[in-house]
Amino acid sequence: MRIVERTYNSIEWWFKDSKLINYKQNNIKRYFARYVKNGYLYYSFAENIKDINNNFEKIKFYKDELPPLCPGENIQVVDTPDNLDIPAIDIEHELLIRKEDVYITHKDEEGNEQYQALSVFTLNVDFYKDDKVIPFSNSNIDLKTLIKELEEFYNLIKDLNSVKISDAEIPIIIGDTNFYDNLVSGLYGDTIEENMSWVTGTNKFDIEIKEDPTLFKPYILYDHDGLCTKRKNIVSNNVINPLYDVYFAYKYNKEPTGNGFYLDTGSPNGIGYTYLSIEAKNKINLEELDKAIYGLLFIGWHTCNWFEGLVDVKLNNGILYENGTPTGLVFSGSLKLCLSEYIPNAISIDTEINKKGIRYKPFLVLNPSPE
Amino acid sequence: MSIIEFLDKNFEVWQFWREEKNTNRLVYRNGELISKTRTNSSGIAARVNGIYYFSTNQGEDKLKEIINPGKEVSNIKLSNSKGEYITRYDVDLEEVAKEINYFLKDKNVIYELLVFKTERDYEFLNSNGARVHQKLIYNGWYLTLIKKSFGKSAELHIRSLSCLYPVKPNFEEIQEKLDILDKLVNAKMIKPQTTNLVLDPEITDLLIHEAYGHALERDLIELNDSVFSDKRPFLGEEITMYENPLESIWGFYKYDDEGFPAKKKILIENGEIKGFIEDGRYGEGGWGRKENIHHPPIPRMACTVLEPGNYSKEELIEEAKNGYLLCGFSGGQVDTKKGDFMFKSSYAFYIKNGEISDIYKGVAFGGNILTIGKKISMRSKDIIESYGGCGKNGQHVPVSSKCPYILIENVKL
Repeated sequence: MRIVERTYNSIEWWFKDSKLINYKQNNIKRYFARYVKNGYLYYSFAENIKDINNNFEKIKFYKDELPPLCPGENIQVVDTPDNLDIPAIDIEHELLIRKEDVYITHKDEEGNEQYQALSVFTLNVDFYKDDKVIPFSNSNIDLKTLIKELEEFYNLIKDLNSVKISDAEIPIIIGDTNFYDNLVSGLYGDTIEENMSWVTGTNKFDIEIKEDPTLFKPYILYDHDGLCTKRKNIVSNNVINPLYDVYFAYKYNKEPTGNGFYLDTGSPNGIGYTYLSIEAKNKINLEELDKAIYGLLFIGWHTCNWFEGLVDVKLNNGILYENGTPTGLVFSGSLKLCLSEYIPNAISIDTEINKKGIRYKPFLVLNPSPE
Repeated sequence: MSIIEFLDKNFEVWQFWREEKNTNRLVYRNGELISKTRTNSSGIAARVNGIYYFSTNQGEDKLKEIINPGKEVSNIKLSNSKGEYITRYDVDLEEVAKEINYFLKDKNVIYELLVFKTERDYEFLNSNGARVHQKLIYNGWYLTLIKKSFGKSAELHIRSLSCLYPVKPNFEEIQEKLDILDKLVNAKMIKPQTTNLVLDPEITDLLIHEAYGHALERDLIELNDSVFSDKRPFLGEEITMYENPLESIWGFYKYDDEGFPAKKKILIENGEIKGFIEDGRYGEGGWGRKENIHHPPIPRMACTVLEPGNYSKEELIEEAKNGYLLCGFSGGQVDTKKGDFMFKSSYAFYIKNGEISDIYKGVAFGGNILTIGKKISMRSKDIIESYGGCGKNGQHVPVSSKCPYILIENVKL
């Protein structure tokens, strides 16, 4: 029997205009056990090790045993600061700092052990200008790096004023990681095998999508199945290499790719990724565009039809660039595209963005719908 | 020393929760069981000085160890209620799933079915003498239907949810959605335009809940995150809405998570703002809700009701003359600070000369809270309850609404 012990400790500090308005601290320990017998995967979740035997469930399984545990240790934890060194920001804002520490131990029946301990800080800030919200959000193991990025973002927007864009079809640069995250969910093995992905029927992908567990810190060296994660090309030279956890890999007679990420959901299976880099083969420099809106936040991602790849979202806020120079803040616009038509001719802006576990060269949409 | 003695000894203002929450879920894809889970999120939590919230599932000693508040103190209204409310019923998840899977067998549709039951049993105490024990049982199913044909696809969602009694499969509704799905695969998209819209109760719910409801949550008002933070504008004669957790079969509770008794509250009356959704931290309480033991309560809606009008659905369609009837919701989002929103219907019917005509794919429509209500010209006399979940600050809680069909004139699609 494999046993996983997972401890999650988190602290959240909420500030409004530099004053603490909420504080939350969680300490949660959970256990997950599983084994394979007579064509079934038996598994159990419990908050207490003594309850594990009472909670077993089973689902059909497609091999006689689980793949071997990848033994080892990956410790990347940082201390919680005694004092949060919040930068002085002189426009109205709401700030959330979250620190999460996750400790996961896998043990198998042969006595192999795997231990992973990871820390990550997340910084979410809503700046308010002209009664409108401009968000900043990112994660990193190092709070100082995040604060430096925040200061750079603040310096970029603080002197910009709201500008009205009327009836012009200005190119939109997709700077919202929700787009890239949803794009990649169409490359999960189960969605492709079950005919639920936008990639069905598409055979030209002039984009490169790579996974690299060491692209950012903390490195994520093991997945929730206890396998080693690895660097790989997910899309390269028009070839897709779908991502699999153990359950869906065996179900579809494939090899697991170290992409089992599901323990947060309380499910015995599920696919995810560590860190991604995404860019189109065609690239353009921002300076080459007379005008372009760098879209920071769009609303409506979850209303899109990702099975068919139909994107229809509203621009909530963005920055207007003219010949590569930021000249104003934009709060309206819309973006509609069909992925299977767009991706074969996608263009990237030749600027590297590192945000929320995705390193991407933002995609450019030349003819968005006018607002 | 017990945790209560510890809190009493060290803090003037404290709230304490003990909770056990068990969820059983079955997930099927195209009839095959892919996940069967029994999860538990039990634990204890305390909030001290109105602001510092600590939780653990490792017992009282661990909680005492991690409670280490800073110097801030926040005003908070504390309940003094004493009471108990226990729900008792059982539901056979496998039987519900079996019936739905059997019905969908040979229907030539890709589908995912989630059947679940959650028991949430919690106890609340505070430094003002409140002692509340409540047990609620939530059950239901979510069904996603997908049809693919020659590179085209369509998707529809159906759900049935309750926290007062076991839900049954509604085969009539599933068949109705399957029939719509067949037509929807090859349906056209609606071109951008400004037109008249009749919204069905499900998408009216989205407008009432997302646009008005969230903007009336007291924490957002106080933190200047709502379009109503600094103004109380007239919102349109046709809008009279209220909150009442006791009216719902899904967003129901007898006591909120801070021990305040549930009650009815008018939010908007004939377009005038009359009240707000409040917890004890930001107001009088009654709507302080939390997803589980690891989150503090915050102001949340439970059951939001838009008062019905005097017309039939057919009269609204006739009055629209030309436009679209939008049906079902497939999501939406609102910026409460700006008042901008965007919602998407699952599908739509063209209204031609006052009559229902061709079906179209779901369409997104946007607008602003301050102006959209003034464009509502008619409401139907029939209201229907819609159910779902609502996310805010990383917490998901059950919510519902009761809404009529509404006619909105000159809306941009």
